[in-house]
Amino acid sequence: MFIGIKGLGVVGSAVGNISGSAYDSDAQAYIDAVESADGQALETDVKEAYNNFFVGLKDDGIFSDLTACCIMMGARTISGALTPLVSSMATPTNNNFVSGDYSRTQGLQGDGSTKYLDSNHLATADDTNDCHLAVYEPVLHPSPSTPAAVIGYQDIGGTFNNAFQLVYYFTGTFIIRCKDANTSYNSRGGTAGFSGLSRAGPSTFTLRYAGNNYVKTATSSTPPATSLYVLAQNHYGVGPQLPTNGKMSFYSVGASLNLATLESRVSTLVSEIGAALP
Amino acid sequence: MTLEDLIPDLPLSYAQGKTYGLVFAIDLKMRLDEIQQEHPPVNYATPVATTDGRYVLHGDLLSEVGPDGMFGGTFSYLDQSRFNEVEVIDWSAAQALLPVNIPI
Repeated sequence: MFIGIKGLGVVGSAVGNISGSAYDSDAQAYIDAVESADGQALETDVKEAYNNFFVGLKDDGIFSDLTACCIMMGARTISGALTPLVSSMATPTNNNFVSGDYSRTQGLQGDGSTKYLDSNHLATADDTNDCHLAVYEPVLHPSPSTPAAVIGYQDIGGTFNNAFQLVYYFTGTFIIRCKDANTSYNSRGGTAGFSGLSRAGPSTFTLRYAGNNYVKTATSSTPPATSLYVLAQNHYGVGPQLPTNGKMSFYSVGASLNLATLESRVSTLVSEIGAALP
Repeated sequence: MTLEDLIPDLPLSYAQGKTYGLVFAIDLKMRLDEIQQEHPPVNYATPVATTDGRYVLHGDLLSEVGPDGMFGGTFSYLDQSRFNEVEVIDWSAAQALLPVNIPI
């Protein structure tokens, strides 16, 4: 009897270990890093949501297309939320965000004046004609009375005369540039969620917004070796510009990819984090 | 009111801190930059230039200046004898001092 109980104990321990190591290795490394940054463990359901995201990206063949990425939800602290998806990715630098600006289900909220992240990811890190950026905004961005940048850099009129940006430009419109100088507008619907740009060639790029793809004609050019800012944009050689008071719970930058595929994975992650943290 | 007046209440609550803007001259901004270069923090306090040549930070940073706060380390290096040089004003008034960025 004693042996049997001991044996069951061993079995139980082994199952626990199997369960723990069943996570994708990159997901486990990310979970470990987030927990270290938070200073405490995550809930099992949050860890499973993270794991499902990693596994899903790999199943879709787009995991390696993300070269900078933060899941800004689920973690217990801003430090955890700013943990890069993979340790080789740049860790963003927090400028002026405080704990009260962070929600575990809705991410970081800017103040429209002083707060932004420096992604520490250079616009030159990804090929000019093989690039993407994407964000997830959990609530509809308030209609700005002045332009507000969601992510990117701009050097319009400067030496490089191009930009990689997503900017809300007054009510109902935003401006997008994908390493080009063209001013591409798109109307904004009343939809929160995923937005992204992806360029796979020199002549056009794709905008995804509110579940639809829009192809924009805009010739690319080599960007400056400057960092993309998040919840604002980096005015090359000047500094942060157009900080937003919107919320953001995910961003990624990297190679061109199928934005609808990434949106599906991010949306699932958002749903699972939301269910894990009611 | 100046930051010196708030010392007994620090750290402030997030809700209270959000109602304030902290406005100061360039020499204090440069001193803050020096401190953050000498003691690189994880979280940077990054003042924004105003249209009248001063700098502003959001007062909610004062919710994180305790020993365990996100800005506690940097705050510990500040010279409290100069806190009377930091003007504390309503956040809406501070925002009105910021430039309206037009280039996109």
